[in-house]
Amino acid sequence: MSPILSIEQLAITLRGDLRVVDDVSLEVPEGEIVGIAGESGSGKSMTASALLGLLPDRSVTAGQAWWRGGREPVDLLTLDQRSWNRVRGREIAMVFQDATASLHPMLTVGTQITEHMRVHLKMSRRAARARAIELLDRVRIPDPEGALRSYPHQFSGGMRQRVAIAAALACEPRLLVADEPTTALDVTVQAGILRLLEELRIESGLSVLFITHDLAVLAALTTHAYVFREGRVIESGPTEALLFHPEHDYTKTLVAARPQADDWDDPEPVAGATA
Amino acid sequence: MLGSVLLGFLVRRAIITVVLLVGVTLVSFLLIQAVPGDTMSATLSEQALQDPEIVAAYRERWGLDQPLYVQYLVYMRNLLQGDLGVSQQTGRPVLDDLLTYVPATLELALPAMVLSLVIGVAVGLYAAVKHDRLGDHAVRAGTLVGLSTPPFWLALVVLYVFFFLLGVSPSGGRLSTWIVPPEQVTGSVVLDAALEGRWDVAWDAVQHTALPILVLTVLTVAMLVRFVRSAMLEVLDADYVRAARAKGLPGSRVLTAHVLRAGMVPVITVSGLAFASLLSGTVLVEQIFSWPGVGQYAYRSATALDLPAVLGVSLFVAVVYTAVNLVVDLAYGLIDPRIRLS
Ligand SMILES: Nc1ncnc2c1ncn2[C@@H]1O[C@H](COP(=O)(O)OP(=O)(O)O)[C@@H](O)[C@H]1O
Ligand SMILES: [Mg+2]
Repeated sequence: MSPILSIEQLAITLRGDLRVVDDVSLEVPEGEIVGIAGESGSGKSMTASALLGLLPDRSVTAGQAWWRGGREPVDLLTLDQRSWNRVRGREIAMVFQDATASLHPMLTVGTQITEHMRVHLKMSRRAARARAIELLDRVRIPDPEGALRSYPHQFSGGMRQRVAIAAALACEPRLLVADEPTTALDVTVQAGILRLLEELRIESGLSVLFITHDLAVLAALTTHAYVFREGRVIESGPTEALLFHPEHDYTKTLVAARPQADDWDDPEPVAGATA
Repeated sequence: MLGSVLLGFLVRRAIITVVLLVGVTLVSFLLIQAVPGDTMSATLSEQALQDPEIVAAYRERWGLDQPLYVQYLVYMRNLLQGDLGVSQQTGRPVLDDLLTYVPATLELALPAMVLSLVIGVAVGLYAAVKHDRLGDHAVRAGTLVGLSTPPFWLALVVLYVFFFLLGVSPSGGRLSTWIVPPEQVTGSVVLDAALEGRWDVAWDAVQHTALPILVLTVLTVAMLVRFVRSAMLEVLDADYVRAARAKGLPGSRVLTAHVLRAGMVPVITVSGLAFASLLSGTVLVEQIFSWPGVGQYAYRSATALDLPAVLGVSLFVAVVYTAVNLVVDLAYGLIDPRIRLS
């Protein structure tokens, strides 16, 4: 079966001729969690942005990004505005690194979870609310009904990220692009969110492209991973092989920088990989 | 629970406002004291000063034989009863003067403010969305012209064009001279005429407001646009706007529900200041359009050293700024739950 997303030789040039991603090829098979690792500034977020048409103004892309999660395969890099609004949020959803910044501070949680359901799925206000309560329950927010009327600042950081995930899942997307969703959170909260993603994958066949600079998270969550450096994929393969038998020197440095290289299930943050 | 938090917010703002207003009266009272020489000789005319009866009545009324704090209490008592003294120039109570001049100013300031907000926000948002492209540059050029145009010059130009060249506008005043003005109820000639069902008169009054409102609007819009643009630019860059786009919301919904909502917070402050200055400082425009508003009253009182009138106007301006401040704060609370719920 062909992968639900295949990126072929993606290159991204920002205004001012700044090449931030170069010759990146990457696949996400349906129902799998695929990881992208790499130090900050290596082009991970830019790649994610390209998949949602959210690159900065006047960026230029080359290559293709074939999306097979809709009615027919489309190249995401060539979509027009109207097609984007069908794909975004509905077929591909995104979770950002900082939930505090990615939730609107002045709109209720209820509005932020339901507004795109009402647009995409033409749901009534009441039906959307009912589904929102289910979603909040699913991501384990206590008192979902009360939460709908609350504002983001009334929640803790971990809860906010759960709200953001609930909003991303609202229209039952096929692919979730998660750009370092747990970096800002503490270890226990992070473990809970990783478990949630794994459950969603098993239960609803959600595919996930998970970006992190934390190799422990990569090992705990993903089956397949890509290592980015300076806008290029320098190594890729099954996560375990990649981390236990790195071929590339850069990956070896990343792995060596991790304090306990033998305990991969422990989702502790890796200080050395942050760079 | 939400209701009681909200109520607490309102009560806090109301208390702050009362404290501010008391402060304002104190300052205005001390200003009277600070006037060199006898406050009496500054407030009473030469002729009145010769009359011992008037002088005695004056001392009695303002408690001038009493210590300072008693004088302040007397001043406050008079103030609360609406007694702001008598204008030397018009010979009428200052309060009555204000009640005729303020509505005239409001009749221009309110529509000008509403128009400016609508136009300023729309154009500013447009410029922000077109960031650094042709539309943005065009708007910048336009606002630059607007900002560097002196108000009186703009007023003269529109008068020249619409009155002298095109003949579609009256030259000034609130009503055509041959019309008997309506009874003063609201103080707005347009509304009062409408209340009497004299629609032709109301229309005539509307035509008289058109040019001054145009001038005030152009000036206010020019100031607002730059501000709105930079506020919106900042919001357009925010993660939550990217997140809204990532949800596949239509662009119009992203702009209205997400961008405008957040970008309005700083805009409200400037709008408040703009409105306060429209209410208190449009002397030149009022002068050119022979508009009997607060600006003209203040100008004439100041040049005639009419102390009670000047103090009355100062008090009015202070009250305007305090009230606008309150409305701005309430609007903040309305827009931003982080302020309302903390
Ligand atoms: N808005 C932008 N304008 C210009 N350069 C940017 C912008 N955003 C990111 N970059 C640059 O693009 C490169 C890749 O950034 P990014 O994809 O965010 O890295 P990562 O997510 O891997 O940390 C970096 O060198 C960064 O400095
Ligand atoms: Mg990043």
